[in-house]
Amino acid sequence: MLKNYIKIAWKVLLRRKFFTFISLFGISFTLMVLMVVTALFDHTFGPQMPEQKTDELLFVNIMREQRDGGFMSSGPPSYYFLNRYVHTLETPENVSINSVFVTVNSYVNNKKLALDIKFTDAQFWQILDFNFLEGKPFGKQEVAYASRVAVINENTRRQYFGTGEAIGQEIEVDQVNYKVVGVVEDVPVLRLHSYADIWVPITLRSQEFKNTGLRGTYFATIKARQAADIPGIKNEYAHMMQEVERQNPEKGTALHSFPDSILESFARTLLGKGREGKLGLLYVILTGITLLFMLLPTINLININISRIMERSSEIGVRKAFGASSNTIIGQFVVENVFLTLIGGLFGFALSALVLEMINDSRLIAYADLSLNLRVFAWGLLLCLIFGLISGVYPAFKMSRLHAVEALKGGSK
Amino acid sequence: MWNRKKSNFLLITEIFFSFLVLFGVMSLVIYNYLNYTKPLGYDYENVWHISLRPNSDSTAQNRLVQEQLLQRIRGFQQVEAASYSNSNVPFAFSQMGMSLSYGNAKDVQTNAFDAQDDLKDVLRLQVREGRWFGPQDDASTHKPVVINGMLKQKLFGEEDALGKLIPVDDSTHYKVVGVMDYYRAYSEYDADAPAYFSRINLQENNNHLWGSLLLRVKPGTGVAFEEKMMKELSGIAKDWTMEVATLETMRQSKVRLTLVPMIALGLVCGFLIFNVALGLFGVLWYNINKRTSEIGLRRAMGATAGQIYKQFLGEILVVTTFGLLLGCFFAGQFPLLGVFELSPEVYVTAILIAVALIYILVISCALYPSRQAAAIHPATALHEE
Amino acid sequence: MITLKNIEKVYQTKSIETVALQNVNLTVPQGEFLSIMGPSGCGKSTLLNIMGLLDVPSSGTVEIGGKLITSYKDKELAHLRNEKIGFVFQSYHLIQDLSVLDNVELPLLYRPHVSAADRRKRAQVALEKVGLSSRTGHYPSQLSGGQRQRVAIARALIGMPEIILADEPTGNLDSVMGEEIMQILLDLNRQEFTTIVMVTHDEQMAQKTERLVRFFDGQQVSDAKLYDFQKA
Repeated sequence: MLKNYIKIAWKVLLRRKFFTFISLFGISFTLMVLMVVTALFDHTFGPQMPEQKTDELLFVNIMREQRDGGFMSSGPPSYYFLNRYVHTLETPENVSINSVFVTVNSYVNNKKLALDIKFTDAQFWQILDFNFLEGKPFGKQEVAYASRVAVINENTRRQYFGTGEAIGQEIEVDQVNYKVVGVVEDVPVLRLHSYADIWVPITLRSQEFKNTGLRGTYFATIKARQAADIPGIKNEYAHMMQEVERQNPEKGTALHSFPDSILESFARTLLGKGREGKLGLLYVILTGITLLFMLLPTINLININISRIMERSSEIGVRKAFGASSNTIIGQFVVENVFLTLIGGLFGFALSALVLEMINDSRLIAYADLSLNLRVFAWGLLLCLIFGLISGVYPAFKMSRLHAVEALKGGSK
Repeated sequence: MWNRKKSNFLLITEIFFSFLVLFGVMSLVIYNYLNYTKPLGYDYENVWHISLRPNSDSTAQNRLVQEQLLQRIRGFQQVEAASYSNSNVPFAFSQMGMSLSYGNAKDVQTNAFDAQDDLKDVLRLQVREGRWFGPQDDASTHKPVVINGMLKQKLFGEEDALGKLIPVDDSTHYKVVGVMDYYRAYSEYDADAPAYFSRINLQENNNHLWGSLLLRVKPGTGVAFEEKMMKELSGIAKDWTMEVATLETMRQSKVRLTLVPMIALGLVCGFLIFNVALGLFGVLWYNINKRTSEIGLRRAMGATAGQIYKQFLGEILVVTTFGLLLGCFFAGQFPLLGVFELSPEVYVTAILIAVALIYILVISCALYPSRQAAAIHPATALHEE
Repeated sequence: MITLKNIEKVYQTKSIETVALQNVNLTVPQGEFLSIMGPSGCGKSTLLNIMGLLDVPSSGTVEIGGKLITSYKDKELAHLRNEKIGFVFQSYHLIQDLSVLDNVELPLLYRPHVSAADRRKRAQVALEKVGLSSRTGHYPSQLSGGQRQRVAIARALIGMPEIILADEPTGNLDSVMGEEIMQILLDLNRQEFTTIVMVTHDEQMAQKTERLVRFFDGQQVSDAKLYDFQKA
């Protein structure tokens, strides 16, 4: 049955080349746009080197203080707060404290390099899965002694050392010399919590540790033993925050800080004013935008499909006369349409791969390595099917209602 | 054509949504374009920006370093002028605002900038009325400010602004000493918003450290000087984190921030519209093929090819007009309700352009099929039936 | 096999009411080859459509094989058509995009539990019966009118229906080809005892069948027994 449907679908596609082209163009471009957006989304929020086990990771990046009278300030938390309260949480397996990256200048061979530097502890390297190309990370000892050692990314290595030896060499950054101990694969800039060009021990900034305010320039990365522990960690964190708020010398100040996944934190900042988690709302909005975007191509496809199917009213009449029920007819046209959509999907995949390659090459996003991985592929396939169903069901339904007698006459109504 | 309601309904919906998409994108493009054509009010070429982050706790120490830094920078022969500023320098990502009131003008949201006397030379600012800051302001009782044209209009309308006192709080007043035409600091695509400069007096503002330093260098000064300068400066300000960037590179990243989403949106919109055009063409073509017998009959009854041609174009134009009327009704709500606070001018132009584009699109899609319809011979058409 | 009682069919448009059939009572016994004649617009095609369960009468009852067809749902009607009835149309109505073999197989597609191999075999047998076994891979557009109608007949008989309804099967063909098609239908009726109802304009063709019914303005005006094939 399926084989027969596909056979006839194929024949119709070949016979009406112009209509086929219109449909395939619409489908493949719509899917291409959706796939590129999905890839960008996945690149920003999905598991990605070095944040691979996203379901076991939480990030703390905002401390929000709200005083009486509505005055509000928010920004990254301080080292003091993270070290004293977050480091001591009991549920997590591991906690890393690291600085927000800052851009500093370096001069190499009369050329200026703007490098993003990040100060981290030893746990940072245990929690995250960096791809070490050479050498290894700095450990507890180097951090304890505030050694001037650095892990650099591939790009910085190329700029500084070219093809020569890098490990063990000195690198001058912002008038300070560091010894290179490791080289890692470039981390995309969208991974705000892990990204940098050069990573050095956090203890080199120990003068900032004295600041006992709650706000500063640090992030925390929390690793759970297993994904199931995440709610427990959030709970413990919330209790801890209540305690911090109670002990806060400035009375009447409401404090908000949450351990979030990347997407949760994005939704909270964008939609929840930094207080409420609005992940659900974010999903609703994203779905809405997607549907809105798909609306026009879908209407277009419905129009084309109606014309295309109308042409075959005689076929519908014959099929009905020889025993096809209305549902069978709907089934046939939906299958045909899904088949067409899948072909369009194939083109769409090729196009998206091309566009993603172009985005990567254009260096619009530093160190972006957008690709169509299996997850994006699965999403694309799902989108294909939804698209095929939406644009196929209405015309099929309309045509199946056609009376066999009229259909045989030519189906003008 | 009235009994083909359903297929026309789909066409109308399609035109309606196409119009809305075009209208939205056009509004954005026109808004940005109109802003882009306005003057910035300053000259960013050969201007460098140094951001400063002190790392020591001692305020007295930091203040000393701050003064030494400025002196050293002015000492370089490649530097024409230098001035401290808040971190909201041109094309920066940080912004500062203030709400000002004067008379009936209440709570005008205004961008606030701080400048030393030398900033006029660094950014080559043009003062239209009055004067820029000078040493004579050291002794003034009120804080002197220079305002831009938009703020003058918002606060004082047609009145003369010079010498007016703007209340800030119970004890402080700003005194307007100068008016400049434009100052649009954040991006070339930003709207002309109210803005004012207040004067930095390093002797007076005792405990404040300025986060940014702007300097104008002689044309052709390059990285070699930058490295030399930074080496010397970090000798003065040990442990400080300093970062240099040219305003030109900062401008480019700002431009990218506006242009990249706009181009992406434009491409997506262009694709959607092209898609619709192809679909429209296909549907019209199909419809005309299906109506060959009707055309044959009309021809047999004496209609000329030209009349057939006009009839088909006319039919599709009526359908299009329905879709557009519906679209204009919705789009018309934007200027009426003042959504997004864009000027009605932007919306109206966007509506007009979108309407024109849709008509052009529809006509070009209908031209070929209609010509085909007109070319049908009555005999063959009737024979087919 | 087919029993029509008090059939009436009225077409209702906004302003006009057209009576297509009025007070039709007709019984077609099993194995009979019946032809229906009448001028254009006399309702004979409508009658055929009602017999074929493609159309429903405004009033009256239809019985097929002793079963009363009244409140059947779309699915059940489709099933009945598939099992019991084969259609042959004046303009063949072959599906352009399918090969001859695929066209013939079509009714079996809607019959569950028929394997692809089985379908293929039966289609070949059906094509042999109409003398077209050499053309299986061709497409309808590559065939002459007579050949197309033979494909259509093969399609009508592949499901071994008890009834074949033919709407002017020779209407678009020249006399030689029409003759051939008529012969195939006659053979089918005599050898397999398939009940055949044929609407025709051609007096000569009608005279070859067992019984001839004439219609005028939606009413039956005559009914004549011409032969009895079963006894002959």
